[in-house]
Amino acid sequence: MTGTTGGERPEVAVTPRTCVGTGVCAFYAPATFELDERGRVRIATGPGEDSAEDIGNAAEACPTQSITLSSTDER
Amino acid sequence: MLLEEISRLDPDKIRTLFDTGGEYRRAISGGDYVEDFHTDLRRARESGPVHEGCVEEVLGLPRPEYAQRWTEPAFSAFDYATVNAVFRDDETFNSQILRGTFATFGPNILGMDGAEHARHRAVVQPSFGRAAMRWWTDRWIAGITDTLLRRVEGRGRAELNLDLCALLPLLTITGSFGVRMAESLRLREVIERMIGADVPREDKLAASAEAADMLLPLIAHRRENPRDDLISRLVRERVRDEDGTLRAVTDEEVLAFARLILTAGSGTTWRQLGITLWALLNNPDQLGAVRRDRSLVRAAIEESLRWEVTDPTFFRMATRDALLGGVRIPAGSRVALCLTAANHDPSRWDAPDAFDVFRPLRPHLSFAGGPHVCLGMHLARAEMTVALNAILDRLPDLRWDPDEPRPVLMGLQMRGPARLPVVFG
Ligand code: HEM
Ligand code: SF4
Repeated sequence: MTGTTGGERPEVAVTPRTCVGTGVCAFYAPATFELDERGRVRIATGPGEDSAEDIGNAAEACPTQSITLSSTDER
Repeated sequence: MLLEEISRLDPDKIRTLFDTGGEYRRAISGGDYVEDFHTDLRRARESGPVHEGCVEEVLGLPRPEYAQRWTEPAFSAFDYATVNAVFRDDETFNSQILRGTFATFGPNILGMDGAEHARHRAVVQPSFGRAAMRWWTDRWIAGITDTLLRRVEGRGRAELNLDLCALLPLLTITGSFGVRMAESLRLREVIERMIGADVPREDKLAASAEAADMLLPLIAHRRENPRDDLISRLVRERVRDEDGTLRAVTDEEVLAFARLILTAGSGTTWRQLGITLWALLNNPDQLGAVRRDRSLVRAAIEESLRWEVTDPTFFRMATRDALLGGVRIPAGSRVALCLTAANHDPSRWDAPDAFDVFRPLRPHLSFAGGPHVCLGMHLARAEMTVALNAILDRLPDLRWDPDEPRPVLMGLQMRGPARLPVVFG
């Protein structure tokens, strides 16, 4: 369940199992996160891009820590 | 039709029900407090992230009446890291303390913890998710906003606190229940009595029963005759019990939830929208910028939430001995979390006491965090977004009414402006 957002942006991984469907992540970074039919997080497939700050805000604010980031140059 | 129903609402009743400056708020806590809140909070935070005593005491005020009833020791937290950590650690700091609401609301998610909370929150989460906001906006928010503004836009002046801010969130929720507009004010009156700080217990229970008399027939009706409303949606939901079996949600569960969102969702959004307008009216350059560039509406709302959230203090209970910001917290203590102080933490925001719609967006704690993060956050944002855009579209050159005294923000809880007298056009 890992999606890359490219450019300077961090590598993003989500854990749907712990997600409770608050939509906090999609508020901060709507082009990166969305909810599936069961209301669990997944990497968004739509167009558009979020800034690294937006994605960072989403990961930080997720109430269940279901989003992890790793910067591309660490890998 | 909506316009007609809304125009028949009794203005005197609206005035007493939404009296931010008056007796009702004084009875709750610090209703008269108009000091420099942010400076007082900064002093508290600078002398340590966690203090013994309730927020009022730390600010040097007398212990308020509601806090005199507490038998447990109290502590207050003022920095971002501590408040955030407490919200997220629901094993050490749980919501037991909010079970007091069960007697009047019925069992509800606010006072539940752990797996029980998760099972019940999952029932209502989809109706308040981002995907549901188109429905909320098209079905309720846009029409109610339009109707309320149509009443004032030809007059050139308005008192936006009552004319718009107070009514929009209440009518959105009662409308979504399927309660008629005329009944909405009575429902609010009953709910206010149910949660009133100085209301005797038996009167609170009577008010709770009165709310049931208004809502239970509606819930039963929607089970048999579903409509395009929230109650019809909720009665179709299923609850997962502790043993894993799925069952239909009960009428009593829907009733408790309805009582909860009437209290959690109408007063809060009313005052927060008022605070947003108050801050923009006091910063006409920022108001102009938001009017010209509507992508700033989102920033203005988030900055208003960060800078001055209407309900600045929430509580948790320590389930075991803990160390918080270097202070020893004995098991059973009450911990007050001061959201406004956390939202002004200088380690996270530059010049935190300034209202600045241009600052980079960073998550604030005004909708809490962790498992109890506000269920209605997307709805509150949708209401404020629609209202702010409509005001900017339809009330040109909006400014304070020069013939009226400038309102101040009041209160240590339920903060907000008492009035918003404006002229336009
Ligand atoms: C600007 C407006 C609002 C603010 C500042 C706000 C703030 C909050 C906060 C801080 C909490 C956490 C309480 C705690 O953890 O003890 C909360 C919870 C809650 N809010 Fe809001 N709220 C707002 C609007 C709404 C609206 C519009 C609704 C409703 C429909 C709503 C429904 C709820 C519910 C049901 C909870 C309990 C969630 C849970 O315990 O899981 N709120 N809100
Ligand atoms: S913020 Fe976290 S819990 Fe909420 S929907 Fe996104 S991943 Fe799930």
